[in-house]
Amino acid sequence: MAEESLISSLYPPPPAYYKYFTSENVNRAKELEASNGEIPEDAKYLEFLTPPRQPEGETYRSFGNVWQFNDKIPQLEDMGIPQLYKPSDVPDGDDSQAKILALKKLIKSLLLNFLEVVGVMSVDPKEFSLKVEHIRTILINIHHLLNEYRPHQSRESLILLMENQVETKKNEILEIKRVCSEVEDKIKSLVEIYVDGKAEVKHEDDELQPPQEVRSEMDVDPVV
Amino acid sequence: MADRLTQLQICLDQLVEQFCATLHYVDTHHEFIPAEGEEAMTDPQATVATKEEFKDTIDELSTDLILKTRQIFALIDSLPGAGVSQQEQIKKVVDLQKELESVEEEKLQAVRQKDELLAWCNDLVTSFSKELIESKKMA
Repeated sequence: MAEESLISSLYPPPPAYYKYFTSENVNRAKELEASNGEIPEDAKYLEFLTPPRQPEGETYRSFGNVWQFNDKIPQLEDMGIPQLYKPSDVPDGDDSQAKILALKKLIKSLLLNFLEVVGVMSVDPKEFSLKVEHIRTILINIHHLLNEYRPHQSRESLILLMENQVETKKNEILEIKRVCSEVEDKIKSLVEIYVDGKAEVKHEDDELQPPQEVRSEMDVDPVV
Repeated sequence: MADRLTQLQICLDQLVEQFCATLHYVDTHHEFIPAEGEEAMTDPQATVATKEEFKDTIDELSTDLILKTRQIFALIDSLPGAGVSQQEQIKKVVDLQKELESVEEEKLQAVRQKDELLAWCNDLVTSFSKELIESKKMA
């Protein structure tokens, strides 16, 4: 029994038909679909390659949860909780300013309601439930507002990330260019010293190892 | 650090916890006031605070509540992208995408230049050493 429940709690293995998804079969299924042909009797397994239709209705079940086909934030009213702030008149609820204002109002109401709870309880403790219910509704409203704000914040974060990336890359470019010009300047000054006084420079460079292979000299090479 | 919204939600939870703590304190530490003509009740479970203590703690608890609320307001004010519409955001993302691509191109160019310089330096060192050896041989 224990063994059974252990097995049933394991992640299920892939469906057996995954073996039919060979390149050959996929191509054949595509051809059949293009020609609208019936699946021949001898190749019934090709049916597995046709994706199933989307279930009817707006939701589906998966791993014990109900999911929406179209991702959207469920409305408070749908969950049986009165919405205390004015519903957004902009599509997708995209008016951050109004949301912030509503948020501030709700926080103030929250404080006031707490004060009222304390007041009510000091007079008649039995009457607390109504006020606690109010606080609950306000809190749910606040959290809902915050969650509605999330897509907005995500976009804003993305913008910030991209700006940082551009900034980093620009700095990298500057750094590369700086080092390059530094090296160039150094070589130029060395060359000048070399040309000016060959003898003095020579013994300083005695430690240079002989090259493994001699490369062709470039036309810019001032040594030649 | 968590993002602003998560911070806000955490602060809210803390605020509600403070509500609870405040009520709990009042519940367990209040003094007993007798009804008219009766003796004051006692409760061995309750730890009655002195008037002074009680007042101070209530002051402290309410100050904490106000501070937490101020913190929440500060967080609300610093929510990112207030007053920017979705269209503006998306346009900005697209623009940044283009900029990112062009900057990347520029960077590759710079790296190529750097590689060329490196190769040139290599050649320089090689030919220089070569000349050095030959001059040594001659000497």
